[in-house]
Amino acid sequence: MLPSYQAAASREGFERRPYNTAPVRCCETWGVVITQAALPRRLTIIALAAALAAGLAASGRPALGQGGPIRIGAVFAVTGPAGSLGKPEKDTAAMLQDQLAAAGGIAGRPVQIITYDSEADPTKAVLLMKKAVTEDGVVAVVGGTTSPESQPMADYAMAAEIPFMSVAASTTLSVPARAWVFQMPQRNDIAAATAMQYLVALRVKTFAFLYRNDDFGQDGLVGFRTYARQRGITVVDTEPFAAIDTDLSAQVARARIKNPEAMVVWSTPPTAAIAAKNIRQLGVQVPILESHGIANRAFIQLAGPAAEGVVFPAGKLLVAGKLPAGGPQKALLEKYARDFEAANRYTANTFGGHAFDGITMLLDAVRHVGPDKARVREYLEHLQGFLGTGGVFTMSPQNHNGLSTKDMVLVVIKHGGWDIWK
Amino acid sequence: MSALLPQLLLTGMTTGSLYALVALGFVLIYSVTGILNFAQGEFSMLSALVCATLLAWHLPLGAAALIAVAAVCALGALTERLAIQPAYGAHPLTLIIITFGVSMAFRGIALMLWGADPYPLPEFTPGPALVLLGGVLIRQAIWAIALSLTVVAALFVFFARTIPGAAVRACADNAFASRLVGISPRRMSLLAFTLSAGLGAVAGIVMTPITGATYDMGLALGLKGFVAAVIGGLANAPGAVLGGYLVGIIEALTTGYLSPGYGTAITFLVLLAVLFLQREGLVHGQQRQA
Repeated sequence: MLPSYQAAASREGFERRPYNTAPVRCCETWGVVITQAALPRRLTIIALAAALAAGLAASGRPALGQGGPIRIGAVFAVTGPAGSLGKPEKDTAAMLQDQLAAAGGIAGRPVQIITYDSEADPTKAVLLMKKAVTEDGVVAVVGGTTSPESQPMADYAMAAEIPFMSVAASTTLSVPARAWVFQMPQRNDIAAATAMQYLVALRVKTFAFLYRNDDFGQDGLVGFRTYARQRGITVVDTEPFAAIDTDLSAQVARARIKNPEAMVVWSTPPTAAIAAKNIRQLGVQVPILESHGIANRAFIQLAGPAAEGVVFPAGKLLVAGKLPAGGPQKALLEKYARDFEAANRYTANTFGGHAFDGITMLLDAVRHVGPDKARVREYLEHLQGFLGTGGVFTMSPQNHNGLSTKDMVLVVIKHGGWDIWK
Repeated sequence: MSALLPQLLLTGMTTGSLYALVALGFVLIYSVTGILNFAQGEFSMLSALVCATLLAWHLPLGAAALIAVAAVCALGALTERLAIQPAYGAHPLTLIIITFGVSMAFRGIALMLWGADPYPLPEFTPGPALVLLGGVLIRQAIWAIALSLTVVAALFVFFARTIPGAAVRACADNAFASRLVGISPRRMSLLAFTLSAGLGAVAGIVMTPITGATYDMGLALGLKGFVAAVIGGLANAPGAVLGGYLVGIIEALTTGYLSPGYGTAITFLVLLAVLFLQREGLVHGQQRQA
């Protein structure tokens, strides 16, 4: 029976078919002789049969040579606590897939972007990346929505020698640079440096630093300590808090005693919004500077009136419409936002933009050097002036992020919307 | 440091009042059924998200809150009927595990319906915060504190002065004897679940203007409420309220004077200390019959 199935499968060019049908057939024929008591054994047999079928299916798959589809893996935290980041990333991948299909792929070969959901679980993220590389035969992987996911994925990329475009912002992902790992978002230290420009412009001499006590917040703390020392500004108080905290007035009260001239909050909503609210509720009227982690609508909605006047560093996507005409990124940003919003029922944001940059950069590489991992890596490493939503990327063997403070702007929240801070 | 103390106490009382409401839900179900309902925090989460959605549909806040509380009460009753009742008579541990499953299911459903983004609710009575003894008390915190005290008083009247309340107490004291006099423990269990879902719902709606509502807010809230209930003696309503305030104030003081990271750790240390020294909790209530 099996050979005929295989023949049918290859006729249809659909190699996965025996995967589903073979185990069921085993059940039907063997179920007659196996009694209820032998259930575990029957399960083993089914498992064996399934494995056999899978093996056959694998051997029956055409090798990824000329003419076959070019595959790119995309591992995002679509569901789970980072869903508000992973969902737009996945939707961006789907949008690009549609555009590729309409354009007929690259050099006559179809391109498949295979998306996987890591649920913000680092273990799952690595396993899915392995699956993408070893089973689905992808040329490169984009993803790792959160830094804890991206870190082990980067390690795996190094071991498996596969180009990995991380969409997470932790500084350690590309400092120091690793051969196979590239980073799409503006790194946390670049965001901190951009944010620092605000304090310098305000001419404040002291500030308090409230931060979420994890990778993200500590990255910010290290950055701010360094840049503050360089600029002669004093960090008078540091106050850590947890991501699940529901009230930060104790931290704000402690910071208030030190009379800082500005409050810096390094977190994401909801705590980023709770901090802003608590600062104003406790009657502290100094300027509030927040992180690039508040670059979504949720912050403005949650913080309400306390959001007014808050300044934060962000990629230019957020204020694309307000950028000066003729600037290098303006057209690209507006096209991305337009395309995204036509395909989805919500506003484009920077996180989807990072996925866009990772995928389009890979496509650019494949277009130039073909789907060869080593040559793609080589091409990416020497990419000059690549236009992305995150900025103008200029890579080098020492710099696998390729962005600078020029690629970020200081954004101020005004009348419940975003504007460029001057 | 003396400048800090009033603020920390007020902060502690604000969060404490929310823990107290959740703790009361634990106590109510535990004293009637012997089950620790770990889906308690999820009731708060669901009511907050439902209320935020209704508000987005341009319902007035009062109506949205009432509908949300009523809906969550119904959900509490449904939970009891569909998840607890079929396993009636099973070992309490089995039932507790069922409530864990229910809480995970609720969290998963909420994530599918609302996503991971936080949702806001406006303050009930917006306005500047009050300055009290050098500390600042926001208006929403007064609502939270007042509501938790009102609910305790209402529960006290319900249990001490009404026939259904007496029936619930009888059921808690001795389920077998109450069946002999015609009280159905199953109906009382339904009543307990409905009421404590309502308590959780109120807590969720009162806290959301302060914290925002997310699909995963129930877990932390439920855990703190549970600690408060255990400290208070598990079968004792005033004890649970006291436990709630104690947990809130301990957290705030630890955050203020030690380090924010220790807040939860110290809370659990206090829980252990209470359990070692005083097995029935700080406030002695009637012991539940096994």
